Amino acid sequence: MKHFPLRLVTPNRELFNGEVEHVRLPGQSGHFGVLAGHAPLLAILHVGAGNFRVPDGKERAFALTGGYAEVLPEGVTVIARTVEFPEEIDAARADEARKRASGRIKSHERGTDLDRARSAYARAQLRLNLSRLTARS
Amino acid sequence: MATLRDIKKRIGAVKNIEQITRAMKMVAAAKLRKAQERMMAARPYARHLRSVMASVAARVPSDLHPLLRPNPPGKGIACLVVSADRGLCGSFNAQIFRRTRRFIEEHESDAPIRFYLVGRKALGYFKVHPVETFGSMQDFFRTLEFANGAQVATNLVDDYLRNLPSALYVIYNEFKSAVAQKLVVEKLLPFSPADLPPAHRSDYIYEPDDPEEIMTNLIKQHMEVQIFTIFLESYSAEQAARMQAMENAADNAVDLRADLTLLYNRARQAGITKELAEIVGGAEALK
Repeated sequence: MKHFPLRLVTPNRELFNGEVEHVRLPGQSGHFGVLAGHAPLLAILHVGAGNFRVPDGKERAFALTGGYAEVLPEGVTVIARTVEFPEEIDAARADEARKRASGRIKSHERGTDLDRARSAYARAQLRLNLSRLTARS
Repeated sequence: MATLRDIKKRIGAVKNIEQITRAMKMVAAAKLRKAQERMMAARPYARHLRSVMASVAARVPSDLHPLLRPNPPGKGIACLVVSADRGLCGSFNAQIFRRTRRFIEEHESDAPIRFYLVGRKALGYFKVHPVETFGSMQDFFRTLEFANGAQVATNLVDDYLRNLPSALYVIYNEFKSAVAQKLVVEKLLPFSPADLPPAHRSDYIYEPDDPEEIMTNLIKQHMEVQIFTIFLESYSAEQAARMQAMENAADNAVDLRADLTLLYNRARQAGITKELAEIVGGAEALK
């Protein structure tokens, strides 16, 4: 199968830079997959899980929180606020964050930024799901 | 005149100061190195973002977008002031405040000026010299994360879209080198695509299929990384300023200790001479 270079870049580091056969990304209107030879594409990414397959067939999942992907004939670059592999996720901390966010949503206090609390909740839930996924496999 | 014991005590105190300030210099140097590494790490992200923005901006009429278009004057301007959380870093904070006061004078005709204050020092200073503020953030530089920059950027963009100031400025210390900081006043919004590198390709499929929405997203993301970089710059500059201040303090302590040691020896000598004179005088009297 044909492969192409993929880069995952965050403000803190370059998480991944290597050849892949396929990458699946969380677009704003649903996940989409990219194979070698895809037409040039610029897509805004949502908070969500994604994965890529390296040439020997191994799949790797990652959690991504917002950004964009640029697909060009010479490769794919994902510029995201955060990208994490499941084994890096601290499940206890994610659970903590999820509880905090859900407390904020339920509290109905004045001055609570509901949008922010909801997106914090979504991020925590995503990280939790992904870390459970690897724990099982 | 100070007694021998007093001088000895002072010498001890000065010696302590010398050791403490040297240690603080080392700590600042280590923190500076870390901050610089993070600045380097953020560069590829920012560079890629800018080049993509350039190619999208080429397809969006620049006067249409609320973050690209200057708001009509009359609603004042906004300004982000970045100070440090801590002192003991020379004139780092004082310079920021002096420049901010000048900024207020320069932009008198644009009043009202509303401020967003970053750093504990700014909060303290502007409590004594009140200005109109619409937000603040403090006590985070020690554990600076991208999320801090992102949050401030979100607040600033929200305010810009809601209250429509005609421009958003930032005042901060830029890190030039370990021995030099540069005070910078910059316009952050409206965002001008002219600052971007020349566009090279703009034949993408867009997802969602709305270049304007994509542009909004990109500008927001760009603001986040820009504010984050500004914080890193300011933090690096702060540590560099502290390094210098502490080095000067340690050098002063060395000088002071030399002076005091001289004084101590002179006083000791004077004491011995006096005692000798007394003994000689006593022996003389016994004859």
